[in-house]
Amino acid sequence: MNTNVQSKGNAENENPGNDKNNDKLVTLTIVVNTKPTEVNINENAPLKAAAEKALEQTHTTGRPLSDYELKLNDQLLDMNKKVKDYGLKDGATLFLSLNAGTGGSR
Amino acid sequence: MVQHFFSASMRVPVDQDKISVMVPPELEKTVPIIHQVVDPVVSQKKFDIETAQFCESGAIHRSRGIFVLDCRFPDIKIAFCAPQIKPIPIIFAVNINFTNYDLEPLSVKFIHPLNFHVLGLQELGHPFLRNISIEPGKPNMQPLALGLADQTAFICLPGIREYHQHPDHSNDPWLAHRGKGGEGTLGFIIDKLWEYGILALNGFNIQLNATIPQLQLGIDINKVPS
Repeated sequence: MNTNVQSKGNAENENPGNDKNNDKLVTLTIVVNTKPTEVNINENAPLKAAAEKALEQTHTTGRPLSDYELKLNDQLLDMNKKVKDYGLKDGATLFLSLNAGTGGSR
Repeated sequence: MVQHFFSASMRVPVDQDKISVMVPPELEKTVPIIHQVVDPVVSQKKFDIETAQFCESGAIHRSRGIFVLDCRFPDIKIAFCAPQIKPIPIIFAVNINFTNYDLEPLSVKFIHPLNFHVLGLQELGHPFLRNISIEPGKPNMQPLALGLADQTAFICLPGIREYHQHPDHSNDPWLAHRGKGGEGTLGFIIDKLWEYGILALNGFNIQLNATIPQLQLGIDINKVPS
């Protein structure tokens, strides 16, 4: 399971083949619609790899990843950026939320 | 007690009159009584699963100011605080009702956090703003908290019973949303309530209506020339 995440991360690494031993694995807690799950991810992997894994582990299906937002506290994260770009460490808690549909008064 | 009435042995449609008798007096004015057409065991199983998932990670939710006030099928009552404001205020509380879930979506009613009475839109006092601007730097705020015909406050978002039952949204049925990415689940609703109700708050704004009998100029006595 962890290997799968790592390979996704390396596949999207800007330096393909740079699969060095010094690439660290980071364990993130990702809360999907208030349901937490732990995801192991290479720090050079894009956040979307971690988000996809979180959806898979929480059996959340039926909507594409583009319908979700990933937040760290109140900061909206760019899922194309790498884990290390945000300085995320082991135990960091991120929130993956499905965007709400249109509503409210016009 | 309500939970006894919806025991595991209950497998027949519920008699409406019996529900009225069984609901404790303090809940009669706070819980909407809706005819249960789904087998209550099914709805209760879903209630048990979703509330357990939420409560298991209570520490994470408390860190965002979310905590459970009461949890008895078919209702869970949740309060939302704004921990970024000191002293920490309770901003609002909701009653989320699982009757007929998930044939029907969850119902979300705003309640008083202490006595659980259902609030009207004026009593809620919070617009739940959503920025619908398509131009960066030019915010265009849309209130999501609206009033039903009887002025009961509700949050107007797909996945919530009050939205789908509203005549304006008769072309957007719940069954088109159910089971897709968690939309309409307890977790989704709590997440959206926090997002639109808590996330953007940064303090108190005080409005004063003052009558000033005489306006005086301020004087820095150190700069008064001799």
